[in-house]
Amino acid sequence: MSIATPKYLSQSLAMKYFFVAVVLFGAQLVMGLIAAYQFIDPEFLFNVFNFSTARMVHINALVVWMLYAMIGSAYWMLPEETGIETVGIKLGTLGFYVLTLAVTVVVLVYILVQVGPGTEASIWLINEGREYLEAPRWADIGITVVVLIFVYNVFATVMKGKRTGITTVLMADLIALAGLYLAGMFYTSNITMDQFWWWWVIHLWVEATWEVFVGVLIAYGLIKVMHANRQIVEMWLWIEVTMLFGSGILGMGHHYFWIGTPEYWWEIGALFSALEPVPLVGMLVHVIYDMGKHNGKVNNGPAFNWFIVNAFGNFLGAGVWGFMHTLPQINIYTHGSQFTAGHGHLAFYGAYATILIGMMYVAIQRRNGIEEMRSTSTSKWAVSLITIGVLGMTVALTLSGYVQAFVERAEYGATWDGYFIAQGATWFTQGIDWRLAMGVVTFIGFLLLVKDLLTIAKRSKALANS
Amino acid sequence: MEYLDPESFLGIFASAAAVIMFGAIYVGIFTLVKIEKIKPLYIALAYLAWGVQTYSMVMLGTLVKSDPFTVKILVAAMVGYLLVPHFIYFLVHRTHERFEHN
Repeated sequence: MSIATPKYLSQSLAMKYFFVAVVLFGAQLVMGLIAAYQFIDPEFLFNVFNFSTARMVHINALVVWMLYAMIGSAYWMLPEETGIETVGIKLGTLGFYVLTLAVTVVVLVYILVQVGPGTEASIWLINEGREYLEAPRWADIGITVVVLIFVYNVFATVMKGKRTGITTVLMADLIALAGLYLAGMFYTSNITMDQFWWWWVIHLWVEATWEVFVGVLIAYGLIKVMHANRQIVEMWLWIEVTMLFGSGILGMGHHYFWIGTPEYWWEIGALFSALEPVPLVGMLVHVIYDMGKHNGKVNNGPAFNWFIVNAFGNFLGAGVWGFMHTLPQINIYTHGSQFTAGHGHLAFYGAYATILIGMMYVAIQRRNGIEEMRSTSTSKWAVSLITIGVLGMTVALTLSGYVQAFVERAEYGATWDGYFIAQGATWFTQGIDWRLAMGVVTFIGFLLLVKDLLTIAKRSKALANS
Repeated sequence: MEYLDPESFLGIFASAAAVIMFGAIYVGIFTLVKIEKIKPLYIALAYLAWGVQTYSMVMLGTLVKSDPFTVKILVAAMVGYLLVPHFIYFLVHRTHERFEHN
């Protein structure tokens, strides 16, 4: 059995975005493995490909593959939501090739050139030097142009076609997503002020606009995979968006604790960070309710599995690991330690990677006109290994971070000596070893995921025809 | 802000995690009872989870050396948390009824 699926150029473009996203996901994991190994053997590739570079590419690849997958998801949804082909799709396709070329050049420069002298030319051509937003200035401008094309595609299409709650929220979110990126493109001579604006991109992207984007994808996914009622899902989307923005915007205060901003950010940060798990409560009630009402009937097994991991991963990674060290009284000991890295690994995976991979399965199913796509053993191994791997890395990093908080920060008062004593502590090094082992498990899961994404449509069709 | 006793770190991390975990257990059991997926008597477990959550929150507040007034505020917030799932469930249920019976 198959479902009739019109072939939209927009959805072909989405598949291209998904393809590059998976390639970058692989690059992220390879760089993570190199950096994890360098923690154990610091001589490995020393002065050839240093830890700082591997870590930078690891994190940049993470951000960029997720952006690719988000843009791909939007191009996928647009024709189905609006009922028409995406307006300006040729421009959008040109934007994809320009962006991919730019990303390729930037990554090659990161790997081959790495750093330059402290001049304006380095900022323009090699590296802007701001953590997570290292893209050189020329690429920054290019990214902005491509994102503006994407925003134009979405707005023009929704204006011309049918408007739904999902596309309306998407439009509102894109204004914030694109606009906030500009805050990371200018410098001030005062480091505190510079960091203040820098967090506007980092925090407000991740804990406000990305969360809302994920809300949009979950809403679309629930409708397509579980046949949930659109009116109910969209009503909930609005409520969750309100709660996410309500807590997420001022929750930024937890990043302002120690950068030289006034002390009132302690109270603001503590209060609104503590409120950040509240939208997750709403999501949890909603998901359990919907699952109960639909008796677990779904038409896309692998996508549904990833959506479930999203619900729990988001809760654990963002909720539990976030709340463990978000209050300023304890954050002063954990800030910037491996504890933060543990939180980052599980939160990015749980909140974003999972839903984006789920969207890839939705696209594969609908692109191939498969009415019911069941999980294969490869799908199950992939989701299990990646989840176990990321959870394992998180626990390992938390143990290492605990040693840092205890020894480096509390006992030695964040001194140079304290840093190295903590780095040599048995529990710290064991945590670092286990992080690498669990990274390998994650990578094996990723290879299975790639295999599954490439073969599941063929298998599902063969199963349906047999 | 007072410096904390390093010996209390484990308690802080554990109680903070417990606040969220038992919050999830409370919400999960509560919703499952409401949609009749498990027996109504399990609601007692839901409220027990909320009780543990509240205790964990007070413990967290104490361990991070919050002043007594702040601890009272935290308890008031937990009363709010007791009500939140009721309110959210009410909204979900009523919207389902409204749209599914039209």
